[in-house]
Amino acid sequence: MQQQDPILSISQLDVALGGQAILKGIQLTAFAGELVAVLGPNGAGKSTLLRTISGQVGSRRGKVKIRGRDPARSAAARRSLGLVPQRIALFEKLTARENLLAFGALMQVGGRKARMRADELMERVQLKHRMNEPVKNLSGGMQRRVNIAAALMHRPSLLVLDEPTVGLDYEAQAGIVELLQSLKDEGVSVLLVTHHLDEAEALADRLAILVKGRIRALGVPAQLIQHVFQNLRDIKLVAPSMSDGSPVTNAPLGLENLGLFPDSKGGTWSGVLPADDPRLRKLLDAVGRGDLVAGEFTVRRAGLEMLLARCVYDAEQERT
Amino acid sequence: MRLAVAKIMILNLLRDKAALAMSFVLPGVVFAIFAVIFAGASGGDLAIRVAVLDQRSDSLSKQLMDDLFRSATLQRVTLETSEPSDLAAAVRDGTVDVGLVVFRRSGPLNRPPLPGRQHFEVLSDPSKAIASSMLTGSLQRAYGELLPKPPGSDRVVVERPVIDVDGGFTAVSYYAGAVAMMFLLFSTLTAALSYLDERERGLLDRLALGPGGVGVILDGKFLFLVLQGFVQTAVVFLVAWLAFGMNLPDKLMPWAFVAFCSAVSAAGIALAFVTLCKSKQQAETLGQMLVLIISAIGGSMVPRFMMPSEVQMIGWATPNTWALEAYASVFWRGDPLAALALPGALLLLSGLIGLLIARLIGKRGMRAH
Repeated sequence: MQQQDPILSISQLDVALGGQAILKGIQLTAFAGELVAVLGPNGAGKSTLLRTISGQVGSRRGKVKIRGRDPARSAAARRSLGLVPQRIALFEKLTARENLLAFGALMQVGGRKARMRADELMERVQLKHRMNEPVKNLSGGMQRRVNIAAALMHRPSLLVLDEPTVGLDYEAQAGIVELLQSLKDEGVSVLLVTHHLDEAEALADRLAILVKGRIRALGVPAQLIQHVFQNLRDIKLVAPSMSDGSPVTNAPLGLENLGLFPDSKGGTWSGVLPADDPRLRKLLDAVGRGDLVAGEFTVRRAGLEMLLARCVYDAEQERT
Repeated sequence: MRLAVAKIMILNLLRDKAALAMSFVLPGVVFAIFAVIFAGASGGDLAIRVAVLDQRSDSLSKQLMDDLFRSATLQRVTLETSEPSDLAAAVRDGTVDVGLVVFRRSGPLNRPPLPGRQHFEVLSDPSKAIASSMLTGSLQRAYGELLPKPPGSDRVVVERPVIDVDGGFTAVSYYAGAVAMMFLLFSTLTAALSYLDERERGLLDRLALGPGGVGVILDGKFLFLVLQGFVQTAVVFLVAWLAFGMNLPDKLMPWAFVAFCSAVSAAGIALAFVTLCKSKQQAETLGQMLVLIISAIGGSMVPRFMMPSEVQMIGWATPNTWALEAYASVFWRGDPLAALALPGALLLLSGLIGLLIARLIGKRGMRAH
């Protein structure tokens, strides 16, 4: 897959708005048929990154190329891009089909070709039966699907989505995940900005974690986690108690001695231990014997949530 | 609890500079502008420009003119001419509001005029009826005060319109243009707000991805606004024709030219204005105020000759004034088409400059937004 030239290529990108540095040294590529998810807390610079990719924000330094061309200067580069803004960017008084035809016309897709494409996309997002209704009459999930379909009218090679599933229920979210998966399978390069870690985990071929304008981690999700946390295990105990009634902090077991710490209310204890740490074995034995009882007890591999938290923590440490 | 709600609202207001200006600065400014305009219109500061051709130039006529122009309402304008036709031309082209000829061969001023003659002739523009009425009234009063026994004849002062207004009432012709221009500005502004709406909803980001970027979007909006403005103006003039007998069919081509130029001007100005605004709410409130002020100064509410001369001067900076001048050329003065060249060119130019500004700001705005 990655022997080809990238569809999107960003190198050493610095962007400042109002004199304030928003993006710093961004390096990112996306290849045909690849989905790159961008994760990050609020204010990380995700929206600015998308606006820079779509040519609407200029860079102080570095380059953005879509199929080898600068989207700020090249209409052909912009034409290769399909943009799905976070908000429903549709004409709400127009029908879903009219919206698609309007966006098609703006991208120079007109006539019979546009009508056929609109019908095909309506079918694909399972809205053919509602395509002649004004967008404002459709549900939030349906509007989100039309929002994506509108960006696909001109068959872009790069689809950029800004939180396409925000505010949707599980079923509607699953429908969009399925649609993105199928686009990826067709060879469309997808850049997905999301706060849904499960969505990123399910779809992303590669992951970029953006914190305070810098990409702090970039790679295949499982490899990233493995690289950062190696064989660490995330342990959580909710409302633990000893079967003999003694405090959970008392020796010989003593949760604190096992590297676990309570939250501020003291109800949940958590910590991170290497998989081969004898303390983890001791804890598992205590639970197995029934000496230690808990409302909920989980030991799992470190995941994206921890990776994101780690990146945010590292950025904070760097700042201080 | 009530006080808490009131406090929140006060804090919100204090921290919103635009709302503060709108609430406490703008009303005073608008009042001052309207007071200046309408005080003149109600006679307070009215200064009617009168050109006089005194063919007698004897002591009695000079005395009469001195008495007549003692009133601040009448402002004497000197024209270097001895021909009544030049005076009529000055009234026709708007150089003066009204003309006054004091005839030499009408017999002594203290006697009734000779048969078939009159002492004074007021050359009037039917669209400025109030100006000729005020001059006639003032002249009769000054004449009565000057002569102990003024001759009682209805031929002492005769009013002669110097402009043929064919097919309908002048007031209708004036107000058709005035109202059409004001609503043109209102409707183009309202339609142009869609730009800010689309920007706020993220639609513009997507629309601007097209090959022409935001420039093409603004061009498309401009075309729509011109078309909408032209049709709207046509509706107003159709009503003036069908319901009030204004002679539209005979003036169709020059009317269409003026209507088109006005629509171009309004469209360009509206787009430049909305691209300059930060939000739809700001554009809505400020825009409505602006249209009201431009319309008042430009003569869409009261004829400009009834305003103080300084306001009349400012009026030349508004599209309303140029459009109304052009409509006056078409419907009142029956000027040749060449007379429409200057107002037409200025209206077109203002519209195109407006579009250019909108494109520049739009492009920069998209990049900074």
